[in-house]
Amino acid sequence: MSLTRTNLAKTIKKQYFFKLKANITSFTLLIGVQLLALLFSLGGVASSSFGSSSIRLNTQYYTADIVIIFTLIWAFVMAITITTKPHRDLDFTFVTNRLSSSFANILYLLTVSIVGSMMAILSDNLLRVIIYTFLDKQFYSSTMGLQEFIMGISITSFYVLMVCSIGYFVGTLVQISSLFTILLPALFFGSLFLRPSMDEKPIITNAFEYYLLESSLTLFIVKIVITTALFFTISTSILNRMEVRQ
Amino acid sequence: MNTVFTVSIFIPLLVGITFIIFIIMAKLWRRFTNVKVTYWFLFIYIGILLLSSAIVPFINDNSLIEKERAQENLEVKDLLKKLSKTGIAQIDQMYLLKESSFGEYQNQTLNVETSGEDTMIRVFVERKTSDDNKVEAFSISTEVIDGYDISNDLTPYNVMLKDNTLTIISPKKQYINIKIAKPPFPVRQFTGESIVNQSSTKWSQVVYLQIPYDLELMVEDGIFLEFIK
Amino acid sequence: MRVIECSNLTKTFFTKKALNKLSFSIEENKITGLIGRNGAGKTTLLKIIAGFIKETSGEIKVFSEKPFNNLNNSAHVIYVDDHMSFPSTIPLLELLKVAESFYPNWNRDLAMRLFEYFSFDPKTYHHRLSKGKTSTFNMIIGLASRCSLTIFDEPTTGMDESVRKDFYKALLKDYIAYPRSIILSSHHLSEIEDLLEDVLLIKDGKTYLQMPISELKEYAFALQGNNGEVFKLTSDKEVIFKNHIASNVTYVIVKNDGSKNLLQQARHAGVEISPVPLSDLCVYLTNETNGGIEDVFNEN
Repeated sequence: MSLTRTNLAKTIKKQYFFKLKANITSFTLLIGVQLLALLFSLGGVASSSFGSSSIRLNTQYYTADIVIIFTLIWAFVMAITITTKPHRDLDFTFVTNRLSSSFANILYLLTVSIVGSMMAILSDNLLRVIIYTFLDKQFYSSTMGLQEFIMGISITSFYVLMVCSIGYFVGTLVQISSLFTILLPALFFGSLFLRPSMDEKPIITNAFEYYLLESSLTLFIVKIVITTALFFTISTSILNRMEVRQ
Repeated sequence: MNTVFTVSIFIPLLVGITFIIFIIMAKLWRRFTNVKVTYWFLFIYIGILLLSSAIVPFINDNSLIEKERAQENLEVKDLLKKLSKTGIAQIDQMYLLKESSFGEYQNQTLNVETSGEDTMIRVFVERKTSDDNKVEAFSISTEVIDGYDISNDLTPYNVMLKDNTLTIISPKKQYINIKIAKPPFPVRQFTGESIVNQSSTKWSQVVYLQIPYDLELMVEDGIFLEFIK
Repeated sequence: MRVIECSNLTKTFFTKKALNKLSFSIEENKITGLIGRNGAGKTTLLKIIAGFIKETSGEIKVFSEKPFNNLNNSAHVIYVDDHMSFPSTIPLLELLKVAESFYPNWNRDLAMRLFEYFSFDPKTYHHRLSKGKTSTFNMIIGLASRCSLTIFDEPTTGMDESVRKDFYKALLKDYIAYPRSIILSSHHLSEIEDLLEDVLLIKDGKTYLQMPISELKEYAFALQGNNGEVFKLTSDKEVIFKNHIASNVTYVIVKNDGSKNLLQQARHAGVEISPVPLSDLCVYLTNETNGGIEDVFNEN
C-alpha cells in the first residue's frame, strides 16, 4: 500500500478555514465589547478648559481610543482562549500536527486582528454620527482621509496582532502549568508597583511607552514585528512538544 | 502622589481589570450566542459602521462647522503677526466678526475707552494714506482651537463712536462648549497630533482701527495700541 | 507490511507506568481487537499510535514513521472515541463536509447514507447529541474517512443494542469493501468476537498475548467436577481460573496444552469438559488473582 504524503501548506489552509468557522461566535463578543466602548466614549476621552475675562472655553475631545483599547483586550482574551485544551483538541479531531495547528492559529489571529482593527477604526465614524445626531450639532471634526484611514487600520492591526502574540504566549504558559494563572496576574499587578525609584514610572509603563511613543513608522513596525515573531516562535516551539487529548 | 504616578498606575490597572471582566464575559457569552445570532450581529454592525462612514463626510462638510485647516492662518500668533505686519487686507475674511464705519469725523483727537467685561484690549491701528475723515473699526477673532476657527461662536466686540470718544464694548462673559473629534491614537502617534492641543491665547478678539492719518489717539489704561507701518 | 511495530514501549504519567515495555506488531488490513481491563493502558497505547501523546521510552512506528506530531500519521490514522471534539458552531452535515476536506479517502456516499440511516438532523450541533448519538456520529466519521489505520476506542459507548449491531455490521461491510487496518477496543468482547481476526490482550501495560481469534478460542477449556478428580487432572496444567461452586464441586479453567488424553481421562473421572466463552476467558486472563469476585466473599 502506498501512502500519499500530506501537504503542510494545504493542511494549514484547511485548518484555518475550519478555525474561522468554529470560532465565528467570538465576533459577537467583539461587537459587544466595541459597543460598550462606544458607550464609554460618549463622554469624551479628554477635555480641556481655559478662559480669559470675557470667555470660558470648554473643549471635549472624542476619539475611538477606548474602542481600540477594548479591542486589544478582546484580542488578548481570544488568543488565550485558542490555546486552551478544548481548542487544541478540536484540531486533533482531523488531520493536523502541532506545527500546522500553530500556523493556522497564527493565521486566524492575524485575520481577527485585521477584522477587529477595521471595525474599531470604522467605529470612529459611528461615534461621530452618534455625537452629531444625539449630542451636539456644534461638532468639529475633519473626515479621516483615505491615507489616515488605511494607516489607522494597519497600525491598529499591528498593535492587535502583537497583543495576540502575547496572549498566545500567556495561554501557552498556562497550558504548561496552571500555576501561571496565578503567577502571571500577580506579576502584572505587582509590576505596577515595581519602580526603579519612587519618582519614576513603573517598569510596565515603560514597556507600554516603548511602543506607544515611537514616532518613526519604520522603527515602530520593526519593534512590533520582532516582538510578535518572538512570542509566536516561543509559543509554537513550546506547543510543538505538548501532548493532546490526555 | 504626583499625576504621573496616578496615571501610569491607573491605566494599566484599569486594563487589567477590564481584561478579567472580558474573560468572564467570554465565558458567559458563549452560552447565549450561536452562529445565526453571530451572522446577524456581524451583518448589522458592519452595515451600521459602513453607513456611518458614508454619512460622516456629509455631516462634516455641511452641518458641522468645519473650517479648512489652512495651515498658514491657523496659529494665533501667526494671525497676530500677520495682522501687525501686513494689515487687515491680508487677513482671511472668516476671521472678521464685525465691521463698523463712522464717517465725517472732524476732530483732531480721539479718546478710546473700554466698557464691559474685558479690561484689557489689544488694538491695531492703521493710519490711512488718504484723508477721508472716516474711522473704521473691525472686530477680529483670534480664537483658534486645535486648528478650528470658532469665530461663529464668539460674540464680537461692539465699537461705538459718540462725540470724540470711541468705546469698545466687550460682551458679557461667554461660555463656549465645543466638541472636537480626533483620530484614534494609532494615527495620532505618527501624525504627531496630540489629543489636547490648545494654543491658549490671551486675546480671543482684537480690534483693528483704520483712522485718518493725522488723528491723535488718547487711550485709557488697558488698551494696548499697536501701529501698522 | 507491518502497520504498527512497537518494541519496549513505555509511557509514564508522573510516577505511574501506563505502558510498561510493551512490544507487538500489527499486520496490514486486519481487524485487531485490543482487549484489557480498565487501566490496562489500552487508551494510552491507542493515543500514542494516533500521535496524540509521546512515548516515554521504547520505539513505535506506524506505517514506518514515528507517529507523534507527524502530519502523515495524522492523515492516515483516525482515532475515534466518544471524546472527539467538534465545534459547537458547525452543524452536523457541515461537519461531514469539513471532514471530507481533510481526509483524502473520504467516502461521501457512505457518510451520507449512514447519516440518513441513523436519522441525524443535518442542522443540529454535535454538543446537543445524546451520548449514544455522539458515538454514532463519531463512528460515521471514523468509517467514512477510510483511513489506512482506523482506531475505534470503545466506539459503542451509550449506543443501544440495535445501533451497536448496526455499527458492527457496517464496520464489517465497509471493511470488506475497502480493506484497511482497524483496531477495535471494546469491553464487549462477546459482541465483537465474530468481527475480529486478531486479538491483542494487554495487562498492566504489557502485551499478555497476541494471536488470531481462532487460536484464542482453543486457548483454554473448563473442567467441572469432583474436587479431587479435578485436582488430579489439572495438577500438571496451567490453571487460569479456579472456583469452588459447591463444597465438593470445582470449576477450573486450564490452558490447552494440546494433550488429547485429558479428554478421555476426564470422561472416565466424570469431569465435565467445556469450552470457555472468550469474554470470560479474557476476564480471567487479565485478573490479578486466580479466583473471582467470589473469593472476596468466601471467608475461608
